[in-house]
Amino acid sequence: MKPSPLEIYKLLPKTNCKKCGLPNCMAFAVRLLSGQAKIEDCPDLVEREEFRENYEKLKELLGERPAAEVSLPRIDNEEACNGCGICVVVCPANARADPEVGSGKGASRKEGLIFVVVNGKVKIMDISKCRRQEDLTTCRVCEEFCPNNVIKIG
Amino acid sequence: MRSFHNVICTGCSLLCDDIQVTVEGSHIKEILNACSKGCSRFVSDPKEGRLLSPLIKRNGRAEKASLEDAVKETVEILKTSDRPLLYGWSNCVSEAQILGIKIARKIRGAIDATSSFCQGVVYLAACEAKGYHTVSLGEVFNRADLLVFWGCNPADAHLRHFSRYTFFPRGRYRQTGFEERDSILIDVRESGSAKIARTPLIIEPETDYELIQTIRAIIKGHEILHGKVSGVDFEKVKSIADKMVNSRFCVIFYGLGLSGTKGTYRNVSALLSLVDDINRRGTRCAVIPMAGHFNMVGFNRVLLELTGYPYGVDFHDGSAYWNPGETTAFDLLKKEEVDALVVVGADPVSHFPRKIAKYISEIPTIYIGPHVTPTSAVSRVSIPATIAGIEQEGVAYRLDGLPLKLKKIADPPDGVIPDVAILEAILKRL
Repeated sequence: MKPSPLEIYKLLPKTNCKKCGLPNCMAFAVRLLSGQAKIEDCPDLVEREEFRENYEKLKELLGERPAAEVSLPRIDNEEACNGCGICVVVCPANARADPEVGSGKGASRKEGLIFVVVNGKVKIMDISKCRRQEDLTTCRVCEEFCPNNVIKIG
Repeated sequence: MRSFHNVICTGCSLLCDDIQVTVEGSHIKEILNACSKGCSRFVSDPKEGRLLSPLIKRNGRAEKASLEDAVKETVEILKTSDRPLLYGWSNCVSEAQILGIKIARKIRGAIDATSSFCQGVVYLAACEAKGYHTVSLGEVFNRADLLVFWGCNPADAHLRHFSRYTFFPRGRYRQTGFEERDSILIDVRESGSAKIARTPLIIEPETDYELIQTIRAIIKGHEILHGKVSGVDFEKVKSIADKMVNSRFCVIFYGLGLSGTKGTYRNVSALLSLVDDINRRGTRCAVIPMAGHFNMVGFNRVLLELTGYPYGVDFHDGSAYWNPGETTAFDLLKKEEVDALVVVGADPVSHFPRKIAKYISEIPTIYIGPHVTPTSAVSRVSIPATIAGIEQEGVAYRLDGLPLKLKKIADPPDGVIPDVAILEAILKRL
């Protein structure tokens, strides 16, 4: 059974030392679970004697899991797109980047947004902002609400 | 290269006012935020399909003429006509509509728009239902928590309806957008909007009236004896009635699936009564008809302001006379009463039945519009005009009745002038 992020967090040093490059141990736990980080990224866990037991337990819990690929939204069938702009408005990351876009108004710029409607067709501009990648959520709203099944995830 | 912000799109009656257009010379290079329907209006090639010079048909052949001659010929036709009809007006700015009404009054003709067989019936229904409750689209996205789509399919017809104005935007009092809203789709088939609506209700064709009256009966607490209504289980109808009454702000959008089927305006008047009943129960409820052409609502508003009637007005005895079924364009042409027809911003030969289209080709017809259409092909006189909202500025009314000022963003082809100037020249000579 897949462990929960909290289970992994309990075995971490919980010092929020930021040595792994992440802001806190909980974020590291989530990355460990998704395969985006290795246990060895935490130097305290490997080097310090008091965490030896936890280190072994973590190795057992996570096993030899291959690094998971984060599947991101992609435009599958551009011909079918009618530029309705539902993905532009419904995407939480788009709304975070430009609150006016979240309240229905069209984009005033193309930079920094994931979805923008250009010449009547949706275009993916900056996919690095996607919540699936940034916050590791299972958000699929763009795929769910696209009336013409243009956007696909995975 | 010039960039225009907050340009108003005239692709449909939503009049989205957040379009960004980049223009290089007279060529439109990039359009941001417009849907494919709006885009096709912006990027249309100025040389392809455009009417570029006035044409007068002589001995069955269209010959190029000067604007002066075309206006002279038009005035001649109108002066000798006993029963002229001015038709169209849904694809032009309100300034042109006002001039059209002035011309109709002067020549004692009839004036009508496409709304007489479209959403103009809401005014007829409102007479029966003693007015109707409506709201602006801004209020819908800020407050509405239940959206009902009755006989309309915004996902395919008004493409940005869900994303810009109703279901998805995060409004002031609906800060998480669609998560705080519920939506019901009532239609005879599973249309494109069914994927977005949370509760799709597929009913039997032409049974809208009994469904509306059943919901009214449920709301009023009457007992329903039948197990099925309009092919739908009674329990499901009851759950929809409960949703309507228990919501905080319900907005009903209806399309031609309701007003164009059996019962026509009676369906709409029943719906307006339903909205009234819901309001009486303490739930804020409003109705918005889904108009098609970009300034169809504008014509109704302008004509109401100037004559007191919304469409199909006849000035034959000098004063405004309205009798739907008698003075509306369709009936006048069907009865072959009209002996001269002026078409501005419409294409009746494409849209009307074949018999009427044939009749239009037999009478002297004057066409004023930007494109070559089947109507321009059969017209005695064709006068090219600019495209409103792109080559010409003016006022247009959104489907909720909000007037917006259209911008001019590109230059028209050489020698093409706005329809307002053409109509002014005609009015001056009459």
